Amino acid sequence: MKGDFFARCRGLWYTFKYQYIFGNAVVEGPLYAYARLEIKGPGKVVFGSNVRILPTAFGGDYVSLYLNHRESIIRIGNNAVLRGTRVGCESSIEIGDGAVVESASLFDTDFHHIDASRRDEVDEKAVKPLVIGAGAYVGWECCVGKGAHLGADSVMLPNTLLTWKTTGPDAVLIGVPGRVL
Amino acid sequence: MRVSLAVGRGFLFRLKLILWDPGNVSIGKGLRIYSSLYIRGPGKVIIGNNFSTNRNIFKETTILTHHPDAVVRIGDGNYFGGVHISCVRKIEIGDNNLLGNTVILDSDIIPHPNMKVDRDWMEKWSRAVVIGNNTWLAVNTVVLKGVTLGDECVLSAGSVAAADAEPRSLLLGVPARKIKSTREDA
Repeated sequence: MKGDFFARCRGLWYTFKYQYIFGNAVVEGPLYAYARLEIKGPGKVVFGSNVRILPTAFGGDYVSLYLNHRESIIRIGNNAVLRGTRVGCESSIEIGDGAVVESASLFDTDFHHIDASRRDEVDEKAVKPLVIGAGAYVGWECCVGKGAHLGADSVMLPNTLLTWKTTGPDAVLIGVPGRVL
Repeated sequence: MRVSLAVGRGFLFRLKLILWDPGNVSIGKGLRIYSSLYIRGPGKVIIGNNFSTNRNIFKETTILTHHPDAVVRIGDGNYFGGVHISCVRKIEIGDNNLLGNTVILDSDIIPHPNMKVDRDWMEKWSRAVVIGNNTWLAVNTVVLKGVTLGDECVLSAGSVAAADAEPRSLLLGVPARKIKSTREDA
């Protein structure tokens, strides 16, 4: 791919920055960064080898991984591709090997309590880990919410919402909330 | 004033095409670019007369082609506000359409740069998209692969067209269904 060398250099810079200076990432293999990568918060991000950080499919934007808790962990498998993805993590998010995530939002928490009187109590929100299977594809502007388990090799079409649901392998999902086509 | 600026920017875009000479882009008369227009990729892009484009919610109009055989054909008198087009095979758009912040895809998966797009992949994942004349696609809509939208269709905001629609239908939902006709008498 064009510009691999520069992406590798940029990946090394991000490895240096987040693994050794900020200490909130573990990079297990080469990381290719074609776009900006932003990791914020006290948790940990574990990158497999050959992870690619790309801008969105139509250009612009960057990948942001936000870790809201000390014990929150994001695992990104080998050969995974993130294209302008936004991730908010409270407990655990797992992206499988070879998965492709477009400019979608992934979050394993509601961020706030649904009761208005307890909305500001930070420890009182609903949390459930999120798993994206190996080889899965999450489409343009999808939302994957807490407790979702996307099966291996399944495809989420654009603007799909998936929460609290386990889907089988090789499924094609569409709709709000997502249904198998 | 704004119109003359847009016409000037259209001429600059033409000048860029002549100097850079990609050879796969042809644009008709009366091009107006109110913010900017991005055309990328090896496929053919044919744009008709009186095409005008602007940005919409910070998104610029972008036309991507991923294969040398891909064809994007856009008719006369269209207005594109922040439209994103990703073409692998074929996308045809008719005349006098009003498109705002739409994503038009003719494949389920948008190919990424280190993905191999060949015949088998195209057979499996992509179908041609056809959009008729005088349609209106509102903000944050998506048109998926293999969809044919008839003349004078209206796709309302946030909906995803996943199946064919007959002419003069008002479409709503994810996936979009026809809820009524856009003509009172029909």
